[in-house]
Amino acid sequence: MRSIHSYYLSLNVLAILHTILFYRIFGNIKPREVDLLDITYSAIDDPEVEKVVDEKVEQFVRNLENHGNQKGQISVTFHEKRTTRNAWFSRSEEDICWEQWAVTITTVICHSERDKLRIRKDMDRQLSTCLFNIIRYVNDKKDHIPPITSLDANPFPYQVNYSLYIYFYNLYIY
Amino acid sequence: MHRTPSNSSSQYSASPPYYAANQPPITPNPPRQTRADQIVQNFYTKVTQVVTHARLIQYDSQISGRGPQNANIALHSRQPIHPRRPNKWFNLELWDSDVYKDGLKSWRQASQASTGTVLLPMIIEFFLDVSDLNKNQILLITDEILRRQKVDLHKIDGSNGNNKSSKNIVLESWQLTLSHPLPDPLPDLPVVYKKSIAFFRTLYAYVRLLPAYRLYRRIRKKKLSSALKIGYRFVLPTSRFHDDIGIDVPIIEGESRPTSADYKFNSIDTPLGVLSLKVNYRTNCEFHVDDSSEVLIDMDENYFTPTLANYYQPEEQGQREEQRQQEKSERRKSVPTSLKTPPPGFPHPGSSPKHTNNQLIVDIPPIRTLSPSRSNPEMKEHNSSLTFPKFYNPSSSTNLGSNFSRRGSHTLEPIMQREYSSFFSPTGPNVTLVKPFKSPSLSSSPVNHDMLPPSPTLLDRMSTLHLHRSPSQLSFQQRGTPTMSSSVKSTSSAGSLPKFSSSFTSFTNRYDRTTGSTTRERDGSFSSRRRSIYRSDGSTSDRGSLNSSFFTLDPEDDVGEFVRMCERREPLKMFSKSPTDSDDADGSTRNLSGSVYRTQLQLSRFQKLKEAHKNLSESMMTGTGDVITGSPSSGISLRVHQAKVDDDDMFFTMSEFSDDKTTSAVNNVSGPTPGSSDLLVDQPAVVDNSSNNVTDVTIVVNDANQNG
Repeated sequence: MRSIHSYYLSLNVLAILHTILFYRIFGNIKPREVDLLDITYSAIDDPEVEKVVDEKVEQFVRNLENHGNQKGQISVTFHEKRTTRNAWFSRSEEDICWEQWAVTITTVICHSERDKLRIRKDMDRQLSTCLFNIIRYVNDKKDHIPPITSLDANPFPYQVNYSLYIYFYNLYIY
Repeated sequence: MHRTPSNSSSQYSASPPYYAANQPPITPNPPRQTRADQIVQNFYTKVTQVVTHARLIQYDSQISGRGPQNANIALHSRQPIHPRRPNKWFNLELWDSDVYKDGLKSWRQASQASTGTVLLPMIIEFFLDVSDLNKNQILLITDEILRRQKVDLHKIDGSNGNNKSSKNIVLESWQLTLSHPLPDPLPDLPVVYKKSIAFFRTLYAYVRLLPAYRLYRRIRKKKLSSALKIGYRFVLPTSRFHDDIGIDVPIIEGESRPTSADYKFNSIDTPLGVLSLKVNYRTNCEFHVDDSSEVLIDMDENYFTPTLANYYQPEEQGQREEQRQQEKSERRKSVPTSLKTPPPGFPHPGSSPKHTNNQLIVDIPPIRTLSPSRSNPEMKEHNSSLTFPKFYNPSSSTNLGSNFSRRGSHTLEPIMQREYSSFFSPTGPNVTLVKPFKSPSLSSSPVNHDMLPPSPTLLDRMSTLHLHRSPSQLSFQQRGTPTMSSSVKSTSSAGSLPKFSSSFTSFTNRYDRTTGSTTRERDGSFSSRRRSIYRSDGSTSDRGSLNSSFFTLDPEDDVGEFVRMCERREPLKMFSKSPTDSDDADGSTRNLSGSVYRTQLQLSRFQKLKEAHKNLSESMMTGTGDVITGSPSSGISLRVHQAKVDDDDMFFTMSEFSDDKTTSAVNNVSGPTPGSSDLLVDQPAVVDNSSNNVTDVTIVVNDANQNG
């Protein structure tokens, strides 16, 4: 739960999404650093990933602004394709979600310069706390990660969904 | 050899149960052991790689370049294009670098030599290397309230031993250990690898969230002349770094947040043991380098100490001595400029009051005494370079003012000097300049105010003959009268009235400034000697000779020469007028030139405004209507007249000030005194209430009318 100034909304959401994906795209990746104010977060140096994330964030922010909502939630879910063998020779692939990240964003409208500064400082602090927390979660919970069975660059397909409290919009990305 | 992860994982993906059958740890499968070994070895390498990549600028410059040109592998960060080899272990692609290779090798050798099987804990430390700081650079650290504090490396941990070697400040300490007992059940290598992937991602991100990374980023951005470097070292059992400042040693005292913090990554089980990484880091790594001189920094620190406190502080040795001397020399150098500039209408005695009554101004020895201790040409030059450019720079005058205020008793005068030096600059008087710099010190130290008023009267008593106008005369008198006043000073009580009008100070301080450096002496004998020299002669010519003699007394050639130069120079046009050769207090000032008159007008207008304001405040305080009614109008008119009035009038004014309490003093600002010097003599210690002031004012008006 974070409150951020609307100007930094997209940047922050980007930061978080990238960070999450950074930890969960298990294929071989090249890391890159992105500076956001005083914080440096790590992201994946992959144009495809970037494109996807940018798109999603843009849509999310646009929807948020259009509907005048102050709260929005964006979630990243990771799936694995598991092939189950049916009884009779048929195999079906299942998409099982093994992890879901939900990020709730609250935008704050600032009325004065001082407010802006204060909120921005707050935002900084919250973002870094958030990133630290993500690191902690990733570190702690490693056992639930499904085995890497595919040789794809990204063994775990992920989805980025965002929901406003008005409507629900899903986009599946592989 | 680097094996791609997919290969290793594919080997085991076929086995249905994800965890391989338990195998006795004692007899591991040789290829498995080899692979595990490999994984563990590369784990260490990768940790080193990730950590140094985020801390060492030279990582990129020392990227090992073997292998084909990898054009398809281009990191977005600043990378020169040359053959290099990416390290793709654990699905994190980084360039190999030579920067850590030697350290890693030595660690490996040491660990193999020690126990043979179990690897030593690999400890990598990052420290702040300040060995490149030159003398003019100060290491600062920003504390939690965003204030920069100087870092004195030698005094941090209390050891003053070896001052030659610069100590390093340890910023972070990373420790990777492979510990036994082996986990049970033995983990499968793919699992190990998978977890390592996640582990290294978090490590990569985490190392950039630590405070030391911000320092690294700042150093990296500066690129040019950063005297700060982050160094690293592998800590082997044989290495000892006693001199360095440990992570737990606080650099700033009194910080509420803890000096250090640590974080432990979750351990990863491997067939060879349990790998665990932990880091101990310093929470505050906000180091900066400041290029300004130490003196100025010290000035800033004490700029806001109340001047009163400074006044009553006992003389301190060491830094204060040096600074005081420096400031004295600066002030001395300011004397010449002030000497030539004061308007003729301003009585010299105005300067003396400051000295006479300011018994606390003890730090200001005469030039003569100053010189022996200040024969350092370097310092003089330095001071002069500090002083003179700043004469005409309002912003820097506060700096110097603060420099002065730092020391015991000079809070008011040096600031005045600075102000008036700029005030009297050839570029023209900047009346507004005077006020802002004056007020802080003045308001904070009422004692200063007090000093100024009484002195003119005393001085007047002593030397009525010395109130004269010609610039050279003025300069002489300014030098002369303070000596007399210094004798007076000894007689006057330190408990002179603290109340004092600021506009008066505007007058008096001018003289103070001019005479300040020359007249301040602790040594009464010297002052009396001076006095005897000056008092014996009443004529201009004598003064001239005394001038020269005065200067010859000064062994400081720089100052003497400069003063002579200023003397030779014509006075400021705005204050110039035909020199008068009489000691007559009445007639000389009538010859003011138009420009001088205009200047006087400006001055008087300013003063009258100030006075009006003061009167208002005073009236509010005292509740007397007289004050208000009396002074402003009269003050206004008198202001104009004051321009025409000769020095005697001014003297009278001074005397009034000297005797008055706050209320009266305020009024007295506005009121020029009757014209005769006799009146001046009689005036002292008379006026005590506003009514008197009003009376005085009227008298003055009459006189002015008469004169006009």
